[in-house]
Amino acid sequence: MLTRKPIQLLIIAVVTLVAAAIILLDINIPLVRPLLTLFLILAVGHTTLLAWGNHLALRGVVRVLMTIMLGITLVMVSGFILNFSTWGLVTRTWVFFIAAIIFFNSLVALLRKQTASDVPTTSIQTWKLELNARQFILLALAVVVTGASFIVARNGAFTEPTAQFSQFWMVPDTTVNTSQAVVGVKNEEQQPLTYRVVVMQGTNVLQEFPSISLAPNETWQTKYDLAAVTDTTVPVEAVLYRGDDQTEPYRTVNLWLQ
Amino acid sequence: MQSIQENTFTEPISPSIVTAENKATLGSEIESTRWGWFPAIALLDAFALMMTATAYTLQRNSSQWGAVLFWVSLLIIFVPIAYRLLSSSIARRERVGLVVVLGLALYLVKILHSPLDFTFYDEFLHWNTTNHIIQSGRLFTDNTISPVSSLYPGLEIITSAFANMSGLSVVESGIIILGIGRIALMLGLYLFYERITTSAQIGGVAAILYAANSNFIFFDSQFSYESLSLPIALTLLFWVAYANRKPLRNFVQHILLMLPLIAALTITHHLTSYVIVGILALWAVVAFFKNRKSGDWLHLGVIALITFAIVFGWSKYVGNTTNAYLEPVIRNGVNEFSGLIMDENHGRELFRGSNGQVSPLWERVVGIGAVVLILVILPFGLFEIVRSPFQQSFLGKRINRLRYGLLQSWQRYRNNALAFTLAIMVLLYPLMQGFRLTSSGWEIANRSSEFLFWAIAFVLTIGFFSLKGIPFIRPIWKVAFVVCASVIFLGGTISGWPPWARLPGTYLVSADTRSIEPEGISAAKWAGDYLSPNSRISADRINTLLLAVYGNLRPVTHLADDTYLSSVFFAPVIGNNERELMSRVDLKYIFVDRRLSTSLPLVGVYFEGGEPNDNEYTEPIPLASLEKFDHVANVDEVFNDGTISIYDVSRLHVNP
Repeated sequence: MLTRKPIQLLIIAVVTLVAAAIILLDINIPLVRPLLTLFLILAVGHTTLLAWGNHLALRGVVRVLMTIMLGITLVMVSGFILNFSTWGLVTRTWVFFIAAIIFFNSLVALLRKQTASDVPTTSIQTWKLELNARQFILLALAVVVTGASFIVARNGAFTEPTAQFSQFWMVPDTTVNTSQAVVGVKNEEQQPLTYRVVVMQGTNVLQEFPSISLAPNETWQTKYDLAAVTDTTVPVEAVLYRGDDQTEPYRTVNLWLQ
Repeated sequence: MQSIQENTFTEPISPSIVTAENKATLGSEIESTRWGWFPAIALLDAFALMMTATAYTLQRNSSQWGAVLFWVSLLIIFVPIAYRLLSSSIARRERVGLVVVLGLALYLVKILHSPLDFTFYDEFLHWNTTNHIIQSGRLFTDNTISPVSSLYPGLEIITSAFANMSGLSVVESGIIILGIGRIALMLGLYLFYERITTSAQIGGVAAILYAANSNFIFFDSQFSYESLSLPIALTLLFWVAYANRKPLRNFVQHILLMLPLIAALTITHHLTSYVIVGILALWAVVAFFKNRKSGDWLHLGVIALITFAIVFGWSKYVGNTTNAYLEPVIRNGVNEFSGLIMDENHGRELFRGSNGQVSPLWERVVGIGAVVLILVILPFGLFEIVRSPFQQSFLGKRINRLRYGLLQSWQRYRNNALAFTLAIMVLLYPLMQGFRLTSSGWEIANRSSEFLFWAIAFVLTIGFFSLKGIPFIRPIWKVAFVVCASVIFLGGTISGWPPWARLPGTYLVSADTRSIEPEGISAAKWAGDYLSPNSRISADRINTLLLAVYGNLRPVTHLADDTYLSSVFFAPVIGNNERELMSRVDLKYIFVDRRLSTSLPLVGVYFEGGEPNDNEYTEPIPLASLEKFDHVANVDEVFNDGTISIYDVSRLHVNP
C-alpha cells in the first residue's frame, strides 16, 4: 500500500532540487527565491522530525513550533560546522549542506519502519484550515492592509525633510599615479546647481573648472596632476563655489604634499 | 478520555479534576474548531498598523498628532485581543492565532519605524558581523564596534545563510528571520504556559501579558542576538517541560532533539544562555525538594548539566571576552545601588533624560502605575501557587476563599515544580525596580525584564484569575483585567524605550536611531568608496557605526583597541598627548561631525562610555575643538560637506 509519507518526501525532495538549482544558477525571480529559501530552512526542521521524532507523535502547534526552531537551529549549527570546512559559508556550500541534510533525513524517514500510527499523524496532511469564505476574505484584507501600511511607512521615510548639502573632496589617487589627486563634487542639494572649482596653492591658481552643472544626486569628478607643484610648505587647496554665490567659498579641502 | 483539542498532550486530563464547573467549557473547546473573532481582529490590527505608519509619517513631518496616533494604535492592537482571550469558550486555534497576531503586529510596529534600513544602535553591531561573514565566508571575524557579537554569531549565521541563498539584502533577510522568530516566540510562550497550567485560556492570557515587558516592542524586535535567542530559549523551556514526564527511552530521544536548541542558544546570546542554565538548575532543585519520588529532578538535572557544560565550554573557550563586556555593567550597577541604599548618592531621577527633558505627566503616571499594579497583583498569584500543596489540609480548607475558572489551581500546582520555580523568579522583580533608581543599574533592570517576565506573566495571570473569585470584583473582572493589562502594557513600553526614540523624527545629537540620517550615511558611503579598505578611522558614536557598516572601514574603538580617542576630539589643540594616542592605534583618518557642537548628547556620551564628562555634560562640545584640524600642518582635509569633514592624520603620528 502506497502511504502518504513517501509522497510527501518525494515532493520535498523535488522542491529541494528545484530550489537548489535556482539558487546555484543565481536565477532571480522576485519572491520565488526567498520563498524557496524559506522552504529549505523549514524542510530541514520538518524532515528532522520525520526522521528522528515522528514516533513522538507531535501534532498541531507543537509540531509547527519544533519544525521552525529545529530548522533555524540546525542551520545555525551547520554554519558553525561549515566554518571549519575549506569552502566556508558561501552560497554554494550552504545549498549543498542544507540539501544534504534534507535528503539524508528524508532517506532515514523513508527507511524507518512504518507503523499504523506514523502515517496519518504527520501534521501537514492532517491540517485543515476550516476557514469559510468571509473569514478568508477578512484575512486576505488584513494582509493587503498590512502591506499598504508598509508602503505608507516607506513613503514617509523617503519624503522626510532632510538636510541639503554638497559633498566636495580631494584625495590622492592611489590607483595609478601618486602625484595625481582626484577632485570631485556630488550634488545632494535636491535641486540642479552649477558649481565652480578652483585648485590653488596659497594665492596661486593652479587650475580652474569654471562651470560644472549637476542634477540632484549627480557626481562630477576629475584627476589633477600635482607633479608640477614643488612647494611643500603650503597645502594645495581646492575651493568649491556654488552657482548662486561665486564670491564666497562654499567648501574647501586641502592636501599637504610630501 | 477527554483531552484538550488538537491532541497536543499525549496524556489526558484526569477526570478527577474535571468538575461540573469546567466540563462544559472543556467540551465546547473540544468541539469548537471555529476561528471565531480571529480574522476580524487580524484585520483590525492591520488597520492599527496603518495608523502606526501614519503616526510615524506625521512625526517625521513634525506633527504633534504622531505621538497620539501611535499610542492609540498600540491600544487597538492590544485591547481587543486581551479582551477576547479572557473568554472561556473560544477555540484553542483562535487563542493561538490571536497570540501570534499580537506578537507579529507589535513586531511590525518596530519594522514600520525603520522601513528602509536598520537604524537602531545594536542593529549596526550585528549588521557589521553579518556583512563580514558574507564577505569573508568565515565566522569570528574582527568586529571592532562589537567584538562580542562575532563570538556569538548565531543570528548572523542564519541571516547570512538566508541572504546568500535568497539574494535579498542583510536587512530584508534579518527582518524575515526575526519575523519567523517572533512567530515561534509567541507559539513557544503559549505552549509553555499552557503546559504548566493545562489551560488553553491561561496559556493565551499569560502569553499576551508577556508582551507587556518593557523590551517587547522595540529592543527585542531589533536585529540583535537577543531577539533570536528568546524564541530558542522559550522553545527549549517548553520542550523540557514537555519531555520531563516521559519514559526514559522517549526522554532520551527528546534530549536529542533538545541538543540543537541548546547549541544554537549557546552560540547566539551569552546572557540568555546563562539565564536558561540558571532556570534549569533552579527548576531541578525545586523538583528535588517538591516531588522527589517522581524522578523529575533527575531528568531536569541531566538537562541542566548538559546545558551548563555546553554554555560554559563556549563561554570559556570562545566567548572569553564576554565577562569584560558584562562585568562592568553589573559592577557599576551594584555599586551605585548599594551606594543609594547607604545614602552615599542620590540615584537617578526617574523619567528625566540625559538632556534634562522630562517625560509628559501621563507617561509618568502610567509608567509608575504599571509597576504598582504588578506589585499589587503578583502576591495573589504567588499565594495561589504556594498554598496549593496545602489546599487539602485542615488549615488550607479553612482559608480557601478564592476559586476561579477552568481548573482548580491546587490540582495544577501542588506538585508543579515549574510553577514554583517561576514563583521564585518573580521575587527578583521588586529588587530590579530598585536598580531602576540608579543610572548604571537601570540597564540591569531593563535588560532583566524580558527574562523575568517569563515568570511575571505567568504569576500575574494566576493572580488575575484568582481575583475573579472575589464577589465585588467578579461583575467587573473582565473590564478590570483589560484596563490593568493595558496599563501594564503601555507602562512597559514607556519605561523600556526613551520618548525621543519611540517615533522617527528630525536629527538629534548622539541619539542613536534619531541620529541615523542621509547625510551621515552618504559620508560613510563616500569613505567606503574613496578611502583604503579597512582604514583605521575614528569618529563619534553614531558615525562609527555608519563607517563600519556603510563604509566597510575599521573604526578605532575602546572595545577593540583598548584606547579612548575622545580626548583627541575634545582637546582645543593637538598636543603631544593627542599625537601619542593617534600613534598608539595607528590612526589614519579622523571623521568630524560639526553637529555635535549644537547640542548635548541625548544618550549621555558623544563617543564612548568612559569619555570625559560621561553622562555629566552641561555644555556641548565646543565647535572650535572640532574645527581645530583645519589649521594643523600636514593634516589633509580630504572631504567636506559643510557638516562633516574627514581628515588624514597619519602624518601627525609621534615618531618612535
